[in-house]
Amino acid sequence: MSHTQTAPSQDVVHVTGLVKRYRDLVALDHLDLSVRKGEIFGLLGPNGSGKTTVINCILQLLSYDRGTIELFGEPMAPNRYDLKARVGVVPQQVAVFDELTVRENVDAFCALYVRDRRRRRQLVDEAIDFVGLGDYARFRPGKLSGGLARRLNIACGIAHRPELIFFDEPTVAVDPQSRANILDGICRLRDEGATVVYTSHYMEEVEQICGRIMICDRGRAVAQGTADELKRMISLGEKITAEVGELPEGTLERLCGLSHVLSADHADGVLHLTCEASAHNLTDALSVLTAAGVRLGRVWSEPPTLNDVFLELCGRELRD
Amino acid sequence: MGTSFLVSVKSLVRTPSVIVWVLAFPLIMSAIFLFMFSGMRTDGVVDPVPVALVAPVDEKDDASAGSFTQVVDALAEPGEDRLLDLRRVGTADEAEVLLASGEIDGYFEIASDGAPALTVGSAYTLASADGASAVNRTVLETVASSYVQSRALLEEVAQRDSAALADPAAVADALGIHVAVEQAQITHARPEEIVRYYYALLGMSTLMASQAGMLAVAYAQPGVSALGARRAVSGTSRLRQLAGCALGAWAVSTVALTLAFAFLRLVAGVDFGGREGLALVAVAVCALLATALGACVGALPLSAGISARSGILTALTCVLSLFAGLYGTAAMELADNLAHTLPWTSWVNPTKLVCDTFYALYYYTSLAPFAARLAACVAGALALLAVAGANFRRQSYEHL
Repeated sequence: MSHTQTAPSQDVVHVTGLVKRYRDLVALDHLDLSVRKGEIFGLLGPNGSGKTTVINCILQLLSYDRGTIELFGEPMAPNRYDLKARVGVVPQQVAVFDELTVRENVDAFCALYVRDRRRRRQLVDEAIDFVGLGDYARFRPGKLSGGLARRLNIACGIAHRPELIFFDEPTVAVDPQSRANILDGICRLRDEGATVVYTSHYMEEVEQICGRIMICDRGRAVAQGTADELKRMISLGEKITAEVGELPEGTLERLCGLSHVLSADHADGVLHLTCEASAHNLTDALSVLTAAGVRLGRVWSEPPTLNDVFLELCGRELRD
Repeated sequence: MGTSFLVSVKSLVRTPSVIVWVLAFPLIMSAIFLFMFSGMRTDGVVDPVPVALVAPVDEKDDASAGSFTQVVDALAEPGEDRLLDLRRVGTADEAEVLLASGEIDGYFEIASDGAPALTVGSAYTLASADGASAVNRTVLETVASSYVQSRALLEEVAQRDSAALADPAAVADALGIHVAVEQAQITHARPEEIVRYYYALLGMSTLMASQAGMLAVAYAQPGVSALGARRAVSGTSRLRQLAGCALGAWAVSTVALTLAFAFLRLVAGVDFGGREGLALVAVAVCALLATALGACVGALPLSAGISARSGILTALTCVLSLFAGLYGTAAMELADNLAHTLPWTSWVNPTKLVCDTFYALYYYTSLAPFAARLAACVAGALALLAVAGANFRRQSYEHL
């Protein structure tokens, strides 16, 4: 699939100071957002953090109280059908016509953007092939599995070859195979020139496919950058795990006393240490354990994951 | 817009609720009406009254007896206007046997002065008889009394001016024979009472068809479904989408109502005054009115979902049908009273307007009343579509 080119230096999406209130609830609190051409931009956040709200505001589906939104360098407005025509949307829910077949559905959505019937036929064929639904073209959505229905949802959003595509949690409730297929497809779209805004609360997905990531919480942008940049923003720099059996008295306290160690925990014969970023965390910890006469089993060290970043920045309390 | 139209048509014809309410409902109700009213249609036919005439062997020699015999023979002659099923018996006893067995409803005896005497069964009274038997008794009494009155009149004429009897015209004048009942046609078609019910059903079915318009539009509304939200952020303008949805719903409604019309005309035999072509035009225009009503409800800026909107339309249809007289005699009287006291209600109630459109076609020789109602339907449809458009073109929502 090929995509229309935009000016290389421009942000495809540029949002500044976006505020959206539902009476007393501030859903978006002066949110700034920039998405560069050709990247997969991840929007991470817990439930109710404002991910879908910001997309709906960008698409002008929701009114907002303050802020500016530009798409392709031009101000976005409800009647900017020329800009909307360059955008594709894959909503969180599978939003298709239950009464139409797979092929009819893709054609119906493609027709909202492409008038020429012959060109549309080609685009529909390509979109169905892209998501691998060729064998199901005559099926109605009700006959499709959850994963296939998600793929149909995607085909309906990309058939008209949009330059900018919003994926709103497209992998919710799908099996690992379908998830891998969907993520591969999104990367292929990026490789073919599309710009993608991807929302999810599956950290590993976002880390896997997104070039830059914004973590938002309570309507605010908490952090933004590449996965590595985000990981460097938190105090956690390394996680050490060791199978140690019983620990002699005082060992845990000595470990906690090491510089750069943030916490130490021993349960069921396994020791967990969290440390700030430092080059000698593992050797320092092993020295303490060896000196205490601990018989070591397996020992391994991990850098922090995006999940750690997310939990540190957004906290661990339960959300809606 | 063309694709929106096709999508609308395809999705509507595959929606079970549309099949049930827009297509099957009028057909099922028509079939029920056909069954209910089958008795009413045959009640208008009068079967010959079985009666016996006690005719002595030598009656031909008796001029007085012969006159009455000629009368009843004439009334028993085969034909569409045959009134009596006459059996001749020799004696009153034979007639009594037949009467007791129920083979005849009564018998005539001719007295010596030539006057007929009617006998009916002893238990055969007006109070106990069913409707048909009471009619039969009245027929027999009328035959006998008319003969007696005419005979007395002629005897009086003979006494006063016997020469007048030589003039057949004068005799006819005296007997009032030439004073026939003349059928005056003041309506375009011969009125049939049951037509009112069928037209009211057509009105209700038309409003039921508004479900198609509601569904087509509501599924394009962001506040109603995720599908609507997805369509709303597309590159096609909202009014273009509304036009496609409404046109599709109109096409589906028109086809469904045309099938209902065909069933009424061809199977139920409902009379449309020989103006079937114009009736089809009315079906299309009334379907437009229904679609516009459905589109208006579908585009209402409510947080209500599809079921709630469907409920609103169903309730509206049922209530408005009451004032169109669908639910029987009492409702008919209510509709008539309302039409007399508040005539404007007939023009704003879509069900009544649809009924009246078909009445105008059926009753009036002039097409002006029909055209006026068609114009009212179109005007109503345009007004409703304007409201729907105003609500539908809204793009940004406070909540979703």
